[in-house]
Amino acid sequence: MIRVGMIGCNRRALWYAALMNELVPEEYAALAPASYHHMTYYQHVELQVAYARGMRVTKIYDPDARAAERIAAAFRKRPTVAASIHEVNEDVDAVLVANEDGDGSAHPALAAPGLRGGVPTFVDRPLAATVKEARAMLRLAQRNKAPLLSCSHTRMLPHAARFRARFEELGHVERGFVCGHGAQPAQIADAVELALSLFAEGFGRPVSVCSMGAQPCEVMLLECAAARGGAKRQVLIDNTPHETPRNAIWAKAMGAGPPLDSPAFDAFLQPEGGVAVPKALREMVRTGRSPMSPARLIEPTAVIEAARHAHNAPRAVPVPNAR
Amino acid sequence: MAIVSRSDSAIRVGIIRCDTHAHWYAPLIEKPDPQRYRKAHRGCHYYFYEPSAPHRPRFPAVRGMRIAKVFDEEDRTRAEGLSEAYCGRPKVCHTLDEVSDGVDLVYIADCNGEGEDHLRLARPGLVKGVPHFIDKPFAYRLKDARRMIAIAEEHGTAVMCASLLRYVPHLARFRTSLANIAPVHSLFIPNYGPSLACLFHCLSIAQHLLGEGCKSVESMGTEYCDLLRLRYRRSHALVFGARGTEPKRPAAAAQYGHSGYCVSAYGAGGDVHTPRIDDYLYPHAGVRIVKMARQLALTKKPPIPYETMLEPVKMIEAARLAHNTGRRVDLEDVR
Repeated sequence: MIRVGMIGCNRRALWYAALMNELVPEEYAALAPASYHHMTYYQHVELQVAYARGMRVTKIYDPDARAAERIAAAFRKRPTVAASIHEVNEDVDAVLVANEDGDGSAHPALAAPGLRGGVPTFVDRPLAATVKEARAMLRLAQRNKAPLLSCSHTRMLPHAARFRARFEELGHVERGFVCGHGAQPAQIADAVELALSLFAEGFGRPVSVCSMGAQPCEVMLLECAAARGGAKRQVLIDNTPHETPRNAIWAKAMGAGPPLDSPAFDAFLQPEGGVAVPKALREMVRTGRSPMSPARLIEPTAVIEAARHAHNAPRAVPVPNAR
Repeated sequence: MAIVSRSDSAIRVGIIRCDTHAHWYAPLIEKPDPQRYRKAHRGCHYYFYEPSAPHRPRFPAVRGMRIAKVFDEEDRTRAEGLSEAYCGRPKVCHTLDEVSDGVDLVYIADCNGEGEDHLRLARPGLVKGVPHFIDKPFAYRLKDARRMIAIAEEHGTAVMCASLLRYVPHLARFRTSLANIAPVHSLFIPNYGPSLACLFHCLSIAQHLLGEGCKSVESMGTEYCDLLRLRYRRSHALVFGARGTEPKRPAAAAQYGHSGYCVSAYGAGGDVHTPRIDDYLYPHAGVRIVKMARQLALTKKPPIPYETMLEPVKMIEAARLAHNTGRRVDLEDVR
């Protein structure tokens, strides 16, 4: 049994705990009714989603001790509420930093003790608020041989991978579009990571970004360079604050021929991307390696940071090459 | 003074600039000789006649109109070609001024242009009191569009401008489906080509689906107007590739090369997508527009409110002011 220390006692932490089958259904229903609803379907008490086996959340920590106490009661086997960020990293095999709506600026401090101790660590999206901080976290992880993973569940969605597999029907994708599910930093990261996984990976790196709207990253226009100097691919990301059905995100690919529209990647589907995270963490414990390259870990932060600089600026801002 | 022809009571139409759009609207104004029309413009014949019966039109011409004069100042052979599609009956004019003499309506065709010459081309006829149907974009600058309206009003006539995308019934039906996902928060309109004409189509799509009342425009991108954001009271429209390069569209069975738009809408209730609205469907809108042009000729009153026609031009002006300035330009500030 892999012992997991969980940092950040919020609904996102509960979501990941549910994907490790760690929660008492009724307690989960009381604390996060919407997530419970989407994981049970209509006539079930127990969660109906796939979960990562062989993992146990043994410790939890939140700077707000009351928040930690509140969610501790929801676990099938009550985890220890750690008194400090250092304590949550002791006697665990892996650490998961859960982020509900933050911009990643708290992550370096939250992840550092575990990384220093060589603990395999997952940091929820975005890895950090700046590339500088992200690189520092990677250096810390490398120095201490701590496998580090950071991503959005949208990057791990099998439905997105299947959508991408259809791009061949277009011959060549010239433009991409992601209609995100909100304007919070974590929601922006979800949309950016989906956009990168669909339209940049296997094509070319993001080279520049523009941003406009009432707040940074509200509407982003990303340009990706073709691997062999061909035409650039433009990707539009709409993070306007709005309500989407069941927290849905959509994508669209355009090229020669009729465009391809994704299904709604909504709250019913998103746990299938989420469950890949604890599974990856389990593998990191087993192998001592991260499944993602440093470049892929940093790239979303690089894009978002550049977009913040580009916001309502006269021209596009280059995205630092993370590859 | 121009009057409706007494001999056959048909509205006599003069066409300026015999480009693809002139050939496109021509069979809706008056039925041509199919064989000659095919020779004059194979592409238009392709869309306007039944594939299995190339002599049978897919869309009947609007009754009571005939093409009386044609003119092309850049290439006279284009005017001659169009005239030839009607067995040489429409008179090929030598001068711009001549086109608006003795006709009841002037149509200024513009397939894929910028509208920079519309005021110059319309002025001679408007001062004679001849109603004008001006192809999209209405004008390159808002002041030109306003000037055309002013000249028309001074001389007791009217002008109209209409994009096919504003009147295509398929978009009207799509608009009704938006209720299924209401409230709509985002409309996504990928553009097809780099000209202002194409952009005007996109803006007309937004107007068609979200109605009038665009509040402001933002524009950004490494190329001019890569992305336009039109803000409405409760939603926005994103015009992507607003003046970007034309996508490569190799002609093949599955990847045909017609002009077309696929629009998506996203709302609290989900997402809906149009079918591909393309050259095969545009003539449905063309019939409606030619009927409006006929009404214009008969009444000398604009069949569409001027403010409706001007809104896309205002959006374009606002986009010019907004592009890469990092600011939102309110339409009410555009003069």
